[in-house]
Amino acid sequence: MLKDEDRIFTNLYGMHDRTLEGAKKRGHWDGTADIIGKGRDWIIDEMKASGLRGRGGAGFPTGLKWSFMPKESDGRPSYLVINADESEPATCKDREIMRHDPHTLIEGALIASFAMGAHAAYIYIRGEYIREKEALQAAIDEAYDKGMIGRNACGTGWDFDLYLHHGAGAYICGEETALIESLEGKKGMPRMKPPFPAGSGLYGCPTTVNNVESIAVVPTILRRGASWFSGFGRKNNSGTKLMALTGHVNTPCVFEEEMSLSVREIIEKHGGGIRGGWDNLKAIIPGGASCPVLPKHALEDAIFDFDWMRENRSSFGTGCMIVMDNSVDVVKAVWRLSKFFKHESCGQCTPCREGTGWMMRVMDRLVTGEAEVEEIDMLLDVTKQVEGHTICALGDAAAWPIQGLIRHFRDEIEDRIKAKRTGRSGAMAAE
Amino acid sequence: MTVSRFAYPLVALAALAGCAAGPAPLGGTAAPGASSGRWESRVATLTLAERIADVCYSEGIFLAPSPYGGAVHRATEELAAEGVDRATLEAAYANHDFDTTTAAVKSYLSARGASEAAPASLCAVGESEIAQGSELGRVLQKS
Repeated sequence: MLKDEDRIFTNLYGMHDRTLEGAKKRGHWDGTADIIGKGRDWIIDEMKASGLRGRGGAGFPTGLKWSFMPKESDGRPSYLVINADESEPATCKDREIMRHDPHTLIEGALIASFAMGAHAAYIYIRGEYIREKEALQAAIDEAYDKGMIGRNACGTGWDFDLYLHHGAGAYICGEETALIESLEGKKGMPRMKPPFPAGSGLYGCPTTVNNVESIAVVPTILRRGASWFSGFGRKNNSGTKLMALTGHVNTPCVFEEEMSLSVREIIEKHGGGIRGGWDNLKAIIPGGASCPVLPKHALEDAIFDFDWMRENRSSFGTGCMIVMDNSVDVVKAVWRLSKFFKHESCGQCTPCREGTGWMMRVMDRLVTGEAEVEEIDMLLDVTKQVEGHTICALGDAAAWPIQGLIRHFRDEIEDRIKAKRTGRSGAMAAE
Repeated sequence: MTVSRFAYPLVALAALAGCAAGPAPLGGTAAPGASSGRWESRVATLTLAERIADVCYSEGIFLAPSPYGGAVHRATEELAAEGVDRATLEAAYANHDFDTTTAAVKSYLSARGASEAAPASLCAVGESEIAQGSELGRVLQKS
């Protein structure tokens, strides 16, 4: 388990003072000007060496992403946009940063913006995050008042403005280009890529979009060194990470832990074990609604990191795990997710707009067992027609949980259909 | 003095103004004592402020900045900073019935013709309290 001295987020549960003074006492805003004084190239190289991968779900290397930003301006300003539209079902880690440790994010925003030549950064916060917005805005105001940001931020000579923008409740605005559209005042619909935001993003200017946690960990990584951070976890999965456990664990929680521990260790140490014991585990959804479900038999030696999850046809996502015990009707659980994605599809792409509805309606029938066995393969075929055929990843996100369900729980679906047909209702959970 | 449930957050005002020896809020379930009474009152005031801020952010009404979040935690830390014994505060928390706070908040709002079902009415209460500079008003701010 991660030692206390290795925790980046030292006020995750809000037990301490979250003001600038409190943050400084916990080691934040320490030597910020010195870090900036080392220059853009040093910061980006150090971030690359740390092995930090984006904490919003996709896991793209953060330092590499920053290096895509132009080194010299062609006259257009560069922007950093921080994605605080944390809307993935079961994911609630960034809110703890924003409401309890907001100065980690603000200091990170300054350093990251400097590294990318951006004099302005925007934080796009989820519409439902009212308390978080208040806390974060108060911290931003305080940072301005104390000269940590604004003109000549921290006495570095670098001018830096930080704006907080409140979203309006659409899941799709967590997709980086939809977020940019929304920030510009337009309807939150994803853009085609290319051009990628680093070339043409916010207001047509070079932009990098990073997750809250990805930015908030930057100052500590730079203070303690890339080798310190990369010393945690397996190669290519390095660092510490905010994770969460929800569902049928004894103690649901958000916590910081090192990468690449076993799933079982995480559930037992942080979640207090599965309700009814490990053998009562049915399945997990590793890191957000879009991650394919994994059954218990696949989890005995499972490692909780990006690569293991990808190699096992799921995804690490945000690291916020949904745990389901044997009382769960997993077909119905995935049906609920399909309903969510149908509701949240922006409707721009036909395969997604129509496909999410199709998938949900077939799932409706599978839940009650009022379907033909052949419809399972038809549903799988529909998921393949949606996957990879849309502008953004929402189509993929809607398809993957269903693919995971069919891959691992096909027998359960078939049994339900057969039970319905023969009049047996034993294990059916449909209502 | 008879203190009605409607006056619950007002008791907080009185308590924080130095009248801590006054009666504990009605419906309170904490151990008897001025400190636990102040804690309960402060929790009620902060809870009420949160209810208002939750629905009035689009009107520019927010919670004023504080080093701590959450009504219970914030009330505890504020009173601890004033020198109240933490064990007393923890006992107040352990014995507190939060249904009482919820009922008091509803009563306070309904006494002013406001309800959570009508967000605009909460905002009117919030604006009025801010204008008066009351204890509740000082927990809120309008941008």
